[in-house]
Amino acid sequence: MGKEIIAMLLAGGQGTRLGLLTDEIAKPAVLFGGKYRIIDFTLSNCANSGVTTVGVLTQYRPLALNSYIGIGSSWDLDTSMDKVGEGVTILPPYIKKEGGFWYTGTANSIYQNIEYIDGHDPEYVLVLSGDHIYKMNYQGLLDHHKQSGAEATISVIRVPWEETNRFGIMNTDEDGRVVEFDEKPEKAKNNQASMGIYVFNWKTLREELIKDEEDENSSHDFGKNIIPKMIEKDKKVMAYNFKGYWKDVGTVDSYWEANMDLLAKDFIFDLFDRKWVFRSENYKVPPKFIGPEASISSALISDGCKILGHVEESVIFPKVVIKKGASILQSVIMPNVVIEENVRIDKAIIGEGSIIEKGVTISRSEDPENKIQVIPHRSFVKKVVNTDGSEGYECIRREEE
Amino acid sequence: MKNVMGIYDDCYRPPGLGDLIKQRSPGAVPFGSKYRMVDLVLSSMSFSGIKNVGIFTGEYSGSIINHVKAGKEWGLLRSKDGLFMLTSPYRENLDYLDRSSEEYVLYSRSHIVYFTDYTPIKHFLHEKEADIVLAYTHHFEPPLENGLYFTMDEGKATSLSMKKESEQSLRSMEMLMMKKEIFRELLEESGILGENPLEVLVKKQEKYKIVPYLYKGYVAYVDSIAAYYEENMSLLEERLWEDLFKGPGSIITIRNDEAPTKYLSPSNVRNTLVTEGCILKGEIENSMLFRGVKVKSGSKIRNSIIMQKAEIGRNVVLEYCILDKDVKVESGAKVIGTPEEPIFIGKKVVVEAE
Repeated sequence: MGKEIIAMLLAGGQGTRLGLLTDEIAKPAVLFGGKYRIIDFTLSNCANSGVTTVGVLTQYRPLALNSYIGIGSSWDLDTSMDKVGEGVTILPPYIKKEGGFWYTGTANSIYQNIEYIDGHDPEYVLVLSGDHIYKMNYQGLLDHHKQSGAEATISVIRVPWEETNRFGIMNTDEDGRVVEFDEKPEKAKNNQASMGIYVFNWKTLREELIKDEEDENSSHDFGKNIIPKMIEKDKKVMAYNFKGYWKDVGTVDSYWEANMDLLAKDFIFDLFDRKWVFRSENYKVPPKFIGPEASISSALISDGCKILGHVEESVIFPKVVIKKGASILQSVIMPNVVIEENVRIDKAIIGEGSIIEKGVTISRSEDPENKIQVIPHRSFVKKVVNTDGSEGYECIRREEE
Repeated sequence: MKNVMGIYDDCYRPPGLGDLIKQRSPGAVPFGSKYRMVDLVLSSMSFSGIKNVGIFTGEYSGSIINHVKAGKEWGLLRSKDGLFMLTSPYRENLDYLDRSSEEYVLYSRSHIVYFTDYTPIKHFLHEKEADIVLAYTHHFEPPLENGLYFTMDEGKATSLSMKKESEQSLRSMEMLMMKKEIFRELLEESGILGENPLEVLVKKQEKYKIVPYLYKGYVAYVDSIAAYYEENMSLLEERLWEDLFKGPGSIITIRNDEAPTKYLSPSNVRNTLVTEGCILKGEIENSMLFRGVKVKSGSKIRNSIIMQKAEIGRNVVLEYCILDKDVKVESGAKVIGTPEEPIFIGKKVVVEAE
């Protein structure tokens, strides 16, 4: 007797649009929300939904992600102990008898791990992506899938009409059955976007993956190939309406916005819900020290920080030092950053382990292109005076200690 | 540091701790914004490389057992050695000592907390060819009601006593390092006389060469509610925070998976130690907040210690207060103590507005 459901989490994305933030690590391992990594939200959703077997498909710069996930104990998804067949398993591309291949697409990555899934003999397979911020009980999706008798169910969310050209849009009939999968349409017929969360009957998906692999014209992608093929063949593909917060943090702007979203007073996405805890790495750091002259308003601040300056509408990760006279506005400061006296940071993302020298100003409003400023990990930022006399800053990569 | 096992004695219940230990052992008392008292000493043991720790549990042992669990965070969840909860009287644990392969014992008591590496103490023991090394400090205030005092006599500790005998008496930290056989003798005797190992040592002191070791690191003597208040408040100094928390090694506690603390607008938090999971509005100054504390708008909290998950309503005024876990302060309530006598509000109490 196999398991009812196992999850396959696609964590191979390069996240090139996140630029410098994914310089050294895979996108799901990017830090988010003051103490988390992007993948924590999906892994916590799995554990909280009772989906206890999770295969994590990695590919691009997997080292940090692999060591971060470890044996999964941070999310109570340990592979150790006496829970046979449960927990997180990392599935990088591997060498088989017939040779080894990189994962060529989302569907191909699952195809290459058919053996792993067969080993669990599940009824259903939940396909997830490791780069979204959301809170979802997958049990609701599975129930809907079972009740409708579908072979595949796709979780969808209403997106603003002006953004429909960024998503895979699902056109459905009155019963919620998907009749057309419209990938990034110029003129969308509706605004139900695929969230990249699918549940399949494993038997069906297994067949489809094998057929898709044989198709030389396929790009082996769920959205582009597998789902449209199933619809074409008149297999029952249903849409499941998700209501709640869901954000694809694929670009610097959306990453920054999603961090700022967390600061809203009565934000629907509640990090403080004791019934749905988002677990993360356990930072062994002291409580934070808020100095006598500090001023903080509307901020999310982790432990291990020393705050002596001004922090407003910002997200601060563990072990950050903000010295006297420094002012941080609408910014994200990653772990182990030191911000010296009288620094001004406005609408910026400061990478892990950076040092910002006295008096530097890093501000979107001073950027000619008006972009969110991103300081790469382990930078040393110092003040420079331009030839026209105006002041700017310069980033120097710090040597590894 | 090899060949040393740790013994943490959580049996003694200082009467001055009153309601702070009403339903918990001294080792389980919340301390320093995110810790329990036991965390500091257990982290010292772990930091020093001790792999075998026995905890003598006393009344309300559930509180410390639930906190420490199998000792995983301190690297004590091991197939060999690890953490042992010694729930029976002292003498009934001789087997545990005999079974342990270490030759030395580091003994410490739960109402005195510190964070250190014991390696120099072990070197000191060898250098002085001592039977027992007894750590002490020049930290006299506030005086303990009971404590192990001694007189310095040509580099040796003499006239050991469980209370201060003369002006020349020095306060020990009740932290000792000794050969395991010696500790075994103390335990064996304790069974017959019903006394703790220190009281036995006082009786048998002539038998051993006891050498005092001047400890210069951080230490807090927590034997009364006033001392508890003062020791926690002293952590609000930036220098001490740096020394204690930012030095080599770190104080470890169990994970709690709280969100980062959220500061709403308007809020004004100054000179305060805060940990995670809090949602804060209002004015908070010279205070210490444990995890999951909620403070609503218009409230003013000064010089207070607020333990886990307290909920403070609107327009509340708290000054010189210690709120135990899960306290609820209703909107408009006002509680004002003094530096000498902070007001203690017990676990789960609801404070109503007048």
